[in-house]
Amino acid sequence: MNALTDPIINVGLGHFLALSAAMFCIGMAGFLTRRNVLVIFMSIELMLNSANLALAAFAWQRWDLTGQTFAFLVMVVAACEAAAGLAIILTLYRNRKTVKVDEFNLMKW
Amino acid sequence: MGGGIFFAATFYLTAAIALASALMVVSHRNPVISALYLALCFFAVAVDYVLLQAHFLAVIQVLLYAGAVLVLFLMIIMLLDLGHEAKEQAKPTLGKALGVATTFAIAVMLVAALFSYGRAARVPGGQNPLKLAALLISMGESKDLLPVKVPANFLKSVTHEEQVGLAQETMLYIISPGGLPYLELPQELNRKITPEKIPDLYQSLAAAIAAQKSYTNISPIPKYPAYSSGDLDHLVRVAVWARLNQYAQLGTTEAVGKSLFKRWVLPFELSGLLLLSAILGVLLIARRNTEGGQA
Repeated sequence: MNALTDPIINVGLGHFLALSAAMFCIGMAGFLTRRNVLVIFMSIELMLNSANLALAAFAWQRWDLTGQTFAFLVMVVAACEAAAGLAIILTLYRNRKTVKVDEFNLMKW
Repeated sequence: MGGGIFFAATFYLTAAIALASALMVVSHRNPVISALYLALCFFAVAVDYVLLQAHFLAVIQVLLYAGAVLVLFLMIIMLLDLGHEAKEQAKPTLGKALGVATTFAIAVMLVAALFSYGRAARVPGGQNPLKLAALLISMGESKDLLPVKVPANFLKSVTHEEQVGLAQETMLYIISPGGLPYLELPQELNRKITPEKIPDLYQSLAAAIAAQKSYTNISPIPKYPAYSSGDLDHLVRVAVWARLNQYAQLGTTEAVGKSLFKRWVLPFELSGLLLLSAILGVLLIARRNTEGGQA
């Protein structure tokens, strides 16, 4: 191994954090630019997943389970959020017959 | 710290799959296709969890995300019957431009954070499990008993100075507060180490590891001769062994369960409460609709 190939072969915390950051940015781009509320929800799941990946990567680097434990708790919160959010989407669709966020203007004054 | 070529190849492959499928999720016009790409992305992340020694998380990822959440998404898409408006016009608006700009700003911030993380404090105590295992082998341990397998050519790459440094760092880390969070070391180990405390330290470490052995089958603890005063060598061996076992146990169901039910039991209970309230809330929302707006 030399200085040139070492950072490529020796995958460490930074690599996983970079993957997590890239996934988070993709999720955020989807969240901010898409109009379909279902895709917006999928983007939120992507962002939560990238946060979990960062937590697991830190747990691996420090040999400490706290990160993995909290990634598990984040998954629980994500499941709750998906269930509640999808129920709200269903109700909104029944009332408004659309899934486009810019047409949900019930609370606009 | 990684495990060589295979580890790196698996990481790059799964990272490419995860990023490509994530891009498809946010860019595809049909939400059904988006959901299927999301499943692919979740599977790739699950493989990354396995690389990160998070085996329990990997299983939960497949069960909960790829299983439950994705099926929920697909069911809702089916219920909504989006045939007439699944297609979304890709006309640029002010909102989209602002979204892209915000994402770009966040990306710049994250990249800056990534480049500064290297200056953060490092955890002492031999982060490389291979080096710790090589240290034990150099002290005369049998290769077959170690919780981590060491490639033969790796042994030569660990110098004598490095071995001494690893042994010292590991000892210091083990006796530091929170050094071995789920080995349940007695309180007296958390105080400063002095020569006259070495016999006690050895006894406590050996007892803690023996207790660990009673409920795990990861690696057998070798029998050490009874402690003779002044024998620091044995203490180092036991400490390094404990550290290696800690790595081998990282992310097993047993270890995560212990962490959840002991140290983090309050967040765990609160998440249970959150699940219950989510169930009730979702039931309420769904019920109001089936009664035709009466409630």
